[in-house]
Amino acid sequence: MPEEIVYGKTGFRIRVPMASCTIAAGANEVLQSIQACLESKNLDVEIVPVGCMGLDFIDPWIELTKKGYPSVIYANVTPDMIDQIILEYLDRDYSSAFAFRYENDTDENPIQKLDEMEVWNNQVRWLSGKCGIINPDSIDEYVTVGGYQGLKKCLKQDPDETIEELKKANLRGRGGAGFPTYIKWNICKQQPGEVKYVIANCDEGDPGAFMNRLLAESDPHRILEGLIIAGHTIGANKGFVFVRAEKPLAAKRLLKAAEDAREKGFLGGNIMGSGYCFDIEVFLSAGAFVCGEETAMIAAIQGERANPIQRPPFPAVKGLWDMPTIINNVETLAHVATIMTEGWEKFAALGTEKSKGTKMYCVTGAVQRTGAYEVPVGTPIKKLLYDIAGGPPEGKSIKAVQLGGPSGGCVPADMFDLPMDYDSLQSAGAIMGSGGMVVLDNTNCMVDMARFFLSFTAAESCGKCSAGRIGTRLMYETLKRITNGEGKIDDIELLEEISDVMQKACLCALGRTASNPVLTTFRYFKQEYFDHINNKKCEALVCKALLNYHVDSNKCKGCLVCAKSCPVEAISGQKGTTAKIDLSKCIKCGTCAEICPFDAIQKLPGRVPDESVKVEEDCCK
Amino acid sequence: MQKTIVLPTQRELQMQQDIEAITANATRKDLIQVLQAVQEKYGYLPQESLRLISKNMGVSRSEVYGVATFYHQFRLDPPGQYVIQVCMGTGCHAKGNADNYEHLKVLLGLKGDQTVTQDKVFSIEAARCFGCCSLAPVVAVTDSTGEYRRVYGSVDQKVLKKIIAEHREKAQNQESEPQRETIVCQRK
Ligand SMILES: Cc1cc2nc3c(=O)[nH]c(=O)nc-3n(C[C@H](O)[C@H](O)[C@H](O)COP(=O)(O)O)c2cc1C
Ligand code: FES
Repeated sequence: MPEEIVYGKTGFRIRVPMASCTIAAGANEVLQSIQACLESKNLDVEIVPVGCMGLDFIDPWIELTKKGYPSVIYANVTPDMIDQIILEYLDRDYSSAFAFRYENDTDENPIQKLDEMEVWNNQVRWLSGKCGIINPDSIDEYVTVGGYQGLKKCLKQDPDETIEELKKANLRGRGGAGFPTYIKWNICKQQPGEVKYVIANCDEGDPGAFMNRLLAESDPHRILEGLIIAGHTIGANKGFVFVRAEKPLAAKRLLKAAEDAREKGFLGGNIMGSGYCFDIEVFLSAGAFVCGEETAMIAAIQGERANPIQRPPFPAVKGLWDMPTIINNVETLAHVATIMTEGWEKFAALGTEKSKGTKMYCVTGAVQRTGAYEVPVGTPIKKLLYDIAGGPPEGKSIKAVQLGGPSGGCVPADMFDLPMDYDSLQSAGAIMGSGGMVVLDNTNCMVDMARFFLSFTAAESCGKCSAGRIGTRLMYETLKRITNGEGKIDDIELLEEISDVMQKACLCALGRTASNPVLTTFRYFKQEYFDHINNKKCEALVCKALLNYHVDSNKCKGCLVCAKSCPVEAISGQKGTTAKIDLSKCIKCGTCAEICPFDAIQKLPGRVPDESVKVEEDCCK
Repeated sequence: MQKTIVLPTQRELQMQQDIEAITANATRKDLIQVLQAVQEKYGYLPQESLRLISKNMGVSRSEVYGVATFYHQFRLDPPGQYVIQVCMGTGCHAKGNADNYEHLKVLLGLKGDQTVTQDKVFSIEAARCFGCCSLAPVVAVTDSTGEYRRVYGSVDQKVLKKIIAEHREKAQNQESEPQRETIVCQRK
């Protein structure tokens, strides 16, 4: 890392991550506290707002770097810790630090280097290496760390050479389907005509995935560089970045990046003196999951309802305003920029035989270290969830992981040796998708998850084809019935039948893949469906209709806090005696269980009061 | 014969001017941006504004309405002063945000399909992922125009109560300007 980036002009930098996730965790308040502290101590320190480095479990973190001192990261910082942190740091006392970024100061320190930590050294930060180090709003910093060198090289060479390099790198699209990027570009390049378009897909509609947001907020110029290279290669003069409205900061950063790039001559007329002209527009999506689909996105940019249309013709042949158009995920484009700068050889050395390079995954849910991690394609699920993300929190056990969002599937814990590449995941019924991984434990009900995904796709289906419109709704209604305890054994067959029709008849991939969450839960967790249908039981205690609240008379002290908190006055009792819940009034909101100081209110499986639950349990065994 | 002429109200005249300004130079492809601008101004898309957009842009009303109802961002009914958006993404669902949504309704006294509180201070919406899934369950509060925005992580009943109290107080002192989400960058 160049010294001017590490220490800055003043020789002392404090990095504060300013990304959506860290701001939500309180980074703004930390920043204000640092400013106040520096002012009161009259220190000449440069505060650098940086992006997020993906270690979300330490949010908000800060990093202090002074010449002659090591670079030290502090985790889960609150405003009142700042004074102490700065004092200790200047005193070379690093006892409350989280890690050293590069070098350790002395051998005595028990604090590790980042490289020695499992969460870090199991990653290959090929793409995200600058995230959390450089200021995303500063084009100078991006250029200093080698930015726009890839573009410079591409502008000098024949577009065919660029395509050849991508072919050798064997880069496959990171937006979900894994289509080889060079093929798409080549098709589009060969189309006749002067007017062509490139679009960066930063819609990231898959809930549970945020690597696109993270990249756009932390290293936006890398995406722009990839987009300009794409434009130059296929011969387009206009590009779009499609960002969703729920992620306003990402849009803001990309807008600022485009402005700066224009000023410095990386965008606009005669880019870097090459004679090539290209400009971009940041398009703020009004929000709809289906917009992520290529043809729907084109309709949205044209100002229409985002209805997908039949392919072929593919957008590479006939796309935006009927002109040849390529659409790439922003992660794919960031890879292009990095490959062109670092060389395809390094990229191709990573990954598996069929899928090269690295992929970013967002691990959330029931793990100790949630975050966004970058690993070579083909890394086993286990390594990501256990070595990097630290496994489940104490006392919990991982049941499954949901991959690929609403079009993906659940992979059960006993299959965690599976390598994460496009083909292996497909064979397990899941997909790589955008790389969201939601880890589920025994407090998650798989039938409820399937219902959740179908409620999502039913709401997000554009409504154009009947198979998608009616199919998703029918599946949702059926699953809702099952989670309500009104399922019949024939429902399973019904769901299979609908999903078969949808896979064959839907117009776009949203409908064709909508049943994946149901099919994979059938495949690996069928017992849970039987439990809901036959035994009217939800083992995970999630489905409201199949559980009830019960006061443990051994623990209840009769304080009646619960009775006061109950919104429907379903709890009665006298001070000092066990409280009683009127199950006919109870709406199962769980307020009482959360508020009880003695942990005396529990959820029990079964739809009937406690005595009969025991009977039911007995007869099942 | 007597003719009655209904004069437009002050508000209608103002709206005509506003929409005129927003739709000036706009072509068919700008429809979404036009709707976004109108919503930013009013916090929602009043029926009358849809009619004016259609007239000014020469796009049929059904088409304007079709686009306005397709995208989640657009509201056709006035929201509360503060909109509480509960994330219904996968990460947040797995961590029980559906319960938070129900609790919120109870805390705000909303019944059935009601989404706006009686005093019009709050309205609630289910939202898709904010990309802060590692802090799940997540709730965001915005003002009706989206200028003010705050995201809360690890939300439970306590946090919900805090959010409500905080913003109710803000609403009461609301004569002051709404705050923008600011990112402060100090360079010495
Ligand atoms: C319903 C649906 C939603 C999609 N959402 C996204 C998305 O949010 N982001 C994305 O990059 N690709 C998404 N895709 C995939 C895109 O259609 C397209 O394949 C991708 O952007 C191509 O880029 P790539 O070649 O770089 O992967 C979606 C596809 C479908 C069918
Ligand atoms: S799932 Fe709620 S913020 Fe992503």
